[in-house]
Amino acid sequence: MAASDQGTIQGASEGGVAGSHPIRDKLRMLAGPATEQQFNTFQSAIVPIACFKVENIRFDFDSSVVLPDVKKEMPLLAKLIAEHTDPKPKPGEPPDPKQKVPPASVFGHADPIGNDEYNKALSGRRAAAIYGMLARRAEVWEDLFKSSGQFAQPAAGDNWGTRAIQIMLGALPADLLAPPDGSANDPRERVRRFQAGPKGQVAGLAPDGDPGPQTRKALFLAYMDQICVDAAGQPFQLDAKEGFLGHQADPDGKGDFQGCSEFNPALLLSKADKQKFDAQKDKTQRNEANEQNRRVMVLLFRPGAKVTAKFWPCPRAKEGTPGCRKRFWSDGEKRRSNGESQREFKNTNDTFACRFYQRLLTGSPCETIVALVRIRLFDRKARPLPFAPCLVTQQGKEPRPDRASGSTPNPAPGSTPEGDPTQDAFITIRDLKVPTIVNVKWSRPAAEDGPGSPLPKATDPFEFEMDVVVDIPEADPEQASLTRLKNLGYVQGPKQVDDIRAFQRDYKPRFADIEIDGTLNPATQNAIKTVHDGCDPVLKG
Amino acid sequence: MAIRYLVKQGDYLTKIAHEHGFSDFLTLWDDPANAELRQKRKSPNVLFPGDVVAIPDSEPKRETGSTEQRHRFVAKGKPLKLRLEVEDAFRDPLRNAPCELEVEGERKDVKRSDAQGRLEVGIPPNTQRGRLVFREVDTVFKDFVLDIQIGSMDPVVEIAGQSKRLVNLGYLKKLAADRDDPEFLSALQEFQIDHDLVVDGRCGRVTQAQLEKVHGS
Repeated sequence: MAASDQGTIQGASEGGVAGSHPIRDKLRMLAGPATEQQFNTFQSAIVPIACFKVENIRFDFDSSVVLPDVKKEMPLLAKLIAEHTDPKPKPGEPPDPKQKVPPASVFGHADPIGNDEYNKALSGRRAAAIYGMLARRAEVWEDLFKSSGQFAQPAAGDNWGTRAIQIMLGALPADLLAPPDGSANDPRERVRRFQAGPKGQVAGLAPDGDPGPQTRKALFLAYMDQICVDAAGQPFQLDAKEGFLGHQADPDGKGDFQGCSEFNPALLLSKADKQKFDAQKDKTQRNEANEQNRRVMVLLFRPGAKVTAKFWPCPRAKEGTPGCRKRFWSDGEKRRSNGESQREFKNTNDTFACRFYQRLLTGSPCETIVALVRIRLFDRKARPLPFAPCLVTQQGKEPRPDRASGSTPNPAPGSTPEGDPTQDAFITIRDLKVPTIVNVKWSRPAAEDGPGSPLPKATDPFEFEMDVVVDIPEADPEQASLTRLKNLGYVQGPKQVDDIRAFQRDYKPRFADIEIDGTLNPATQNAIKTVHDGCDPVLKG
Repeated sequence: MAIRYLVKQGDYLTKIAHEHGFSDFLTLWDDPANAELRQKRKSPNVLFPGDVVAIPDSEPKRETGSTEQRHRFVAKGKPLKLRLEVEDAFRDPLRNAPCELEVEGERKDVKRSDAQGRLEVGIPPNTQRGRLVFREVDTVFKDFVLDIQIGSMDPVVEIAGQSKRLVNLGYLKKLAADRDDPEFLSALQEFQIDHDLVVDGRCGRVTQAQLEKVHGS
C-alpha cells in the first residue's frame, strides 16, 4: 500500500491506541456536461478521520465495567478530538460557540472464543459503557448495572453488582469522601463516605451506606469525571447530540454506539495454534492471544458529518446481530475463521466479516496488534516463582509494578489446584512494537502471596535484576545463543567459555548429545534455544 | 472528405463539434456515418476514449436565395449546461446552500443550491474544469474545494463509467482498474445493498440502470 493509504499512530499506551486516518484525496467530481435533463450527483462519503481504541485490559474480566486505569488512555482521545475540532480550540481561551467537534461512533468487539451469545451481548455492552462515559449519561450505566436491556443486551454473566461499586469508590480521590468513622472494612462504609461527601451532598443523598439508584447515579458521574480526563487531568466529555454521529436522534443509540459481536476479529490464530492453546488446561495463553480482539473502537468523523438512523446499517446495541449479516462479505464466514497461518487485519485486510466495518477501518492505524512478550521468572536455582512481585521497566517508560502469574497455591483439601503450574511465574508485556530490552527486577514471593496480592512499589528493594533481551538477534546464530544464555542467567563467567560450559554441564542430563567443551556447537545451540524459548530450565541442586 | 476523430478522455460531443467548427453537435450526432456511435452510446456527451466520431465536411450551409439578399444564420445548438446535485448525507441534498462556482476560472452567477440541492449553469462548449466551494454551511462540505472535471464522465456500460459514478456517490475513493478490484467490489456491493438491489458484486443491467438513476446520468 502507498504510504498515503495508511494512517499514523498519534499515541499509544498499554491500554489503548489513538491515530489519524489517511487524508483523503482532494474532493474531485467527475461530471458529464448536459444538454438534456441529466445530472451529476455528488455525495459526501462517511469516512473516519481518526480512531481511538480501548483494549480489553481496561475492562474488568469478562465484564463491561470500565476500570480506573483507562484514565491513562483518555487523554489521547481528548487530544485527538481537540486536533480535529473546527476551528481548533486555543488553549487558555474559552471554546468558540460555533465550533464543531468531530462526531464519534463507538464499536464494541468480542473475541471468537467462548460462549457465542454472551460475547455478542458483551461487545454491545462494552460499547455502551464507553459511550455512556463519554456522554456522561449515567442512565446508560444504570441500564448495564440492572441489565434491563434498554441500551444494550442484558447479560447474566456481566454482573456489575457490589464489585463495580467498590471499584468505582476505590478510584475516587479523598476529597470526594467524608472522613471515615471507624468501620473501615465495611463496604457500606465507603458508600456512606461518598454519600456524605461533597458530590453526595450536592445530589442530596442520605448517608445510609446503601448504593441505591440515586447513589449510583451520583457515583457513576463522579467516577466518569475521575477517569475520563484530558492530559491536564481535567474531566472532558462529548455532547450527547453534537459529539456523536447519530446525534442522539435515535433514543436507543443507533449510529452512536453498536456491538459487532465476534464478526470482526483483528487477529486470527492459525488453526494449529488454536488447537494447541485449546488443548492447554490453563487458557492464559489462548486468552492473551485472543484478548486483542476484545477491543472497543471509537471512530471520529469529519466535523459536520451526519447519518440518519434509517440509513445507518449497524443494528442497535440492544438488538443483537441478525441485522449485521446483510452487510457481510459473501465469504464473510471464511474471513473470520482460523486458517492455515495466523492473520492480522493490519497485514492481510481479510479478517473482518462485515464489509461496512471494513470500509471504515481500512488504513486505520488503530487496528494494530499489540505485541505480547512473556517472561518467566526464576530464582537462582531455576525454580519458577509464581506470584513473584516485580518491577518492569521498558525504555522510555515509567517502571511498572507487577506480579507474576500463578496457579492457586493452597487449594482446599480435596480440591485440585486451579491453573496449570507450567504457566506459573509469567509476566506479560504489551506494546505496539516488540521491545528490544526490558529491565526486570523481582523477588521471591512471600508464603502468603497469591491471586489478588497487592502490587509492589517501585521503591521496594528487589532481590534480582536483569536486563532481559527480548529482541533476540536471530540473524546471527552465535549472538542469538549468547543472548539467550545471558537471559538464562549464565553470566557468572569469568569468561564466556565458562558460561557455556556451565550450561552444558547443567543440561547434558537432558540433552545427551551435548559435548561439555565450552563451545557453541550445534547441539548446544539447539539446547539453549529449546530451554530458553520453552521457559523450562533444569532445576539446580 | 469526412474525417474520423478518435475520442480521448475529457472529450464530449459538444466540445468535439465546437473544435471542428460546428455550432450544433446534433449535426454530428445525427449524421448517418455515426449511426453505430449512436447505437453504442446513448448520451452524446458521455463518450469513451477509443470511440470514433465521423466528422462530416464542414461545408457552409447551402441555401437557395438571391445573392443580393442577405440571410442571417443564427448559430444553432442546444446550450451546454453543467448540472450538479450535492448530497450531504445519504439521500440528503444540500439544500439552499450558499456557494461559489467557477468554470474555467470564470466566476458564475449561481449563488446557492436550490431546494433540491441542485446547481445549473450554462457553460461554453469546450469547458474542462470547474471549482465549487460551499462556505457558510453547517456540514462536512464547509470550505471544501470540489474540483470538477467536465467531460470526464464515461458511459455506465464501461467499468470506468461505473467506477466514476461510484466515486461521485462516495462509495469509492479511487478509480478501479478492473471488476475484480476488491475496493470496486466493496463499493459496488455497498451501493447495491443501500439501494435494495441483489448484492452480487456484478454491475449488470439492473445495477447499471440504478447507478444512472441515482447519479442522474
